[in-house]
Amino acid sequence: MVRKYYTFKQFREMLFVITIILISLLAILLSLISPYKQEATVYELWLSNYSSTVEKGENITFFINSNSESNKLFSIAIYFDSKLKANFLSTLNKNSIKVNLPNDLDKGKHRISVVVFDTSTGDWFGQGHQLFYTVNVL
Amino acid sequence: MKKITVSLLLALIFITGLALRLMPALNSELPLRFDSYYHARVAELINRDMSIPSWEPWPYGGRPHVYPPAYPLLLLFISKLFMTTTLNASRFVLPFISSLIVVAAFYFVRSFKSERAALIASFLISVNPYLVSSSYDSPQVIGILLLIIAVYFVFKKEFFKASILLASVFFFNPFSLVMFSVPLFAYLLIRDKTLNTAKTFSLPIITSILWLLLNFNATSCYNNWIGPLFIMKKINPWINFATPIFIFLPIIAFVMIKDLKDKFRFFWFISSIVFVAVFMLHFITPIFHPWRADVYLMLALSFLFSDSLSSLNWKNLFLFITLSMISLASLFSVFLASPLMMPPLTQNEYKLVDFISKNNKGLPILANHDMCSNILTLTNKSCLLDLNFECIPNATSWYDYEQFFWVASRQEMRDIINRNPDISYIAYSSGDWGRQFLESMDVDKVYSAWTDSSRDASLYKVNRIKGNITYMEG
Repeated sequence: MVRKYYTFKQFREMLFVITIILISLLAILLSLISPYKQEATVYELWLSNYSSTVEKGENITFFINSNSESNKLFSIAIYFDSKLKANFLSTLNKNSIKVNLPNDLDKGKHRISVVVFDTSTGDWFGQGHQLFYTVNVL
Repeated sequence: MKKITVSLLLALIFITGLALRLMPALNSELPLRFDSYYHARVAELINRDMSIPSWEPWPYGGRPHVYPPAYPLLLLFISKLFMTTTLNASRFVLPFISSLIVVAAFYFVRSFKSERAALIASFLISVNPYLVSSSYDSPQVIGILLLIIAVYFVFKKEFFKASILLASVFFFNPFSLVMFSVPLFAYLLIRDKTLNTAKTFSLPIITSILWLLLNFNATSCYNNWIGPLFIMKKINPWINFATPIFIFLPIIAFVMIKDLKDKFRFFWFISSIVFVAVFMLHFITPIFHPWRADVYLMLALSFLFSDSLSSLNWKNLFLFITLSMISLASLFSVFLASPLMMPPLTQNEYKLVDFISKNNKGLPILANHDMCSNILTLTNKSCLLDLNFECIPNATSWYDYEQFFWVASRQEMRDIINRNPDISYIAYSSGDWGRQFLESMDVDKVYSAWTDSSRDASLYKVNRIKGNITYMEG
């Protein structure tokens, strides 16, 4: 049996080829595992009829929804001019919240807000997720 | 090296390039980068009107259309061929063509250098993170592919063929033609006859001038001063990242060049210097698209390194392995930690676009570039901002729209809203700055969407009294 010896030149050539193969395979692996997919649950809040003017005593409807059927509970607060008017727990599954504008609003601008706090995370963005509608009483 | 080994290595390198470029596109339902949306919209416009548009309806108010039409026409053709939408076609066309550059580089280098040099060039191009991440938005990759073939014809002294290719590059991507014209012109003047220079540049010059004359009205809305401002704000982090590489890598490549008599080395050496110079121009003008100089420089350096490293001594082998490892490490960071390979908007931002599509009454929306580009493409609604340095019809308003998401005070934000009566709705993406200023003014927050890991994407309605917005407490 004849033992085969490699010259330094052949050895360098082998290293060159191995480098290409190894880096290429790792790059292909990277391309297969890396690209990120967006599969997060999206929660939504929206306000109906936002383009029309709302008078005193009328209703404003806030809709809440998410793209999952999760029964996760959120803490929901309703504020009139930063004063808490109501606070309750609810899921975000296709619910609507009707807020009745009081008849005794003073002149000037009033902000009616619905704020959703994620109780499970402690809402680490701090201020919750809110919608608000501004009513100008003349 | 055996022929079969070379063929197998080339096949592996091509598959690597293809996988790196196509997989991110396959994993997103929409095109990854900004420009794709614009070209898909132009393709749809051509499809609707059956003519090359002279006016485009976006952003709000419209503007003259100046971009040459070859790429949108190609998108339209491919979308018809595969019975899909132009937007869908734009996800795959550029990544696929970008991976063809790998093969073109191999045959180009093999024609003038060794097979090993050709393998090194195609490999470095295949795994270069700059070249991989630029495979999604601009038809410059088509330009680069054609330009490599054009340079091949120039080296082979087939000047008329080179001239035809250069002219066709103009219709795909004028900037890549401008980028390559300077080194090509210098090369021909120094190393060849003046007559051959004229032959090579005759067709591209004639076609460019004809196109510009036919679209002369569009050139009037070019505005230089707004571009550098935007580059400094938006692209500055990228420039900070790129600058050391732009200085360091060419120095290594230049040190390794033994002499410049060889036409291959001489051309890519001049090219590298021109591309670094163009990159530095970002302080002065956006007209040469200096933020794209990275792609061209990496291409030129890949060719220079392929030549220098092809004599496989220990030092060169070490440098080749080091370059390969650095490329792989950078690819990891680009793929896993950078937004370059992700869709332009997050899921909750797409919900916002969907809401706008269903509910907005047609009034224009102010949003950042990515949001606007998606609103303009995916809905039939109008948006105020669309990134296009070649034509800015109303520079004062445009600057305000740009500045809106960068303001330092609510006074500044209020002034922008009061100066621009077109601002009726404002869409905030999760990453936009300044919503606390906006919320202290008379606005309604009518929509909000979020995920567990992202801030709200929201829509605000601006309430004006006698045309002006006021603070809530006032």
